[in-house]
Amino acid sequence: MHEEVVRNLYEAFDRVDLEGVLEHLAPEVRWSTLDLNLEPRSYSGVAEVRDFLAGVFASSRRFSLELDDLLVVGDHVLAHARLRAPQARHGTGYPLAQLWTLQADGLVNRHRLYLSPARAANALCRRLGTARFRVDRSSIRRYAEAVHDANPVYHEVAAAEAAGFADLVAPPMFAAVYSAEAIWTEVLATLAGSGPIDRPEAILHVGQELSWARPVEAGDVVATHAWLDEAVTRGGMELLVFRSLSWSAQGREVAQGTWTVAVGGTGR
Amino acid sequence: MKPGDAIPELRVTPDSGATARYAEASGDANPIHTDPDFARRAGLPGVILHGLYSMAQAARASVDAQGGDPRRLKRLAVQFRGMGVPERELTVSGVMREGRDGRLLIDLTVSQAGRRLIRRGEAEVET
Repeated sequence: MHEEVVRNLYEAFDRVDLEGVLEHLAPEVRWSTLDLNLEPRSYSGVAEVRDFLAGVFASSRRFSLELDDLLVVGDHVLAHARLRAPQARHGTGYPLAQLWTLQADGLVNRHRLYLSPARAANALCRRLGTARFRVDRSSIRRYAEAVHDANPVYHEVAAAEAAGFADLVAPPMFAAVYSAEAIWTEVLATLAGSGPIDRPEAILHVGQELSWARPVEAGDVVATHAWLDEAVTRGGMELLVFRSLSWSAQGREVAQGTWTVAVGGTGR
Repeated sequence: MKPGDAIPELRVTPDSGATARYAEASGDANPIHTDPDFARRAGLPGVILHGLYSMAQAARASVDAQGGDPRRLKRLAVQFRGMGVPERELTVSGVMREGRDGRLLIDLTVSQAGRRLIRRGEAEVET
């Protein structure tokens, strides 16, 4: 739902539709932005935001805002957008990052604009429980060796470069490594109050799904946020379903995971 | 490759040190994978393989089937069932099936000594 709301907002911006933007804002919205002279400005409440945006829209011929990519994490949506002059035929536009925070009812209660995607990604990390993993060549090689994978793009920089990577690329399942701290911290925090935290053998990993949005290379720093999505009891066992989302230092989605753990059973 | 094709079978035998190396490389320190005494006290025959290690073999077979380009693996979902043990051969097999948006799906199983460690494995790959 949050993703759709943010997409609607960009469409409203594109149509220069002030009411179409405002209808998605909570009455007490806080809006941090830059004015047309790139001076930081902050507005509180829909009335103040309306006055600011009305001024921006009055000069809307000077630019358009193009949505590039979205990262949805919990109540936050990090949008990568490009500011372009409509007449410009060349160039990629000026990259902006906007961090939208939504309420449960889908209204925006916080908007922050960043000129640096990395600063937006950091802001996201500060607002969520996040574990960061610094990927280096040795961690990639050690992992690839541990799973007997001799694919040269995981071992030789020249082979990785020849395949179009900037440095050694991590095998897809390396997601289990950079997500580990966030996910297992969440699993243990969930079990701490309830169950067999002192019996590791009673915690069974019964299902796993991972999806990959972009590759991870040596030198990258990957942030992961994990949360408990669902808890169900089936056949005397408690099934806990955790989710994880990982993103790059530039705030681009890297991977998502669904981790299903069974607790309290005695075997598979 | 096209729907109906089997991917090349991957066979690998984890040596006796494999679980310790995987634990170190992945940060998964559950002693049922590394400490034989602990594993036996927990009612297991000995240390068992990490589920994610077996899943990594399914991922490897999927990437290898796409010319070794890791970017082509977009998603992998598995269910872990039987417990794997070191020093016995694992076999990964898979069959291609039509997916959405021009992608292919691979139905994967990972087995050891006739028992399935992973069932209902499904990889989504870009061709």
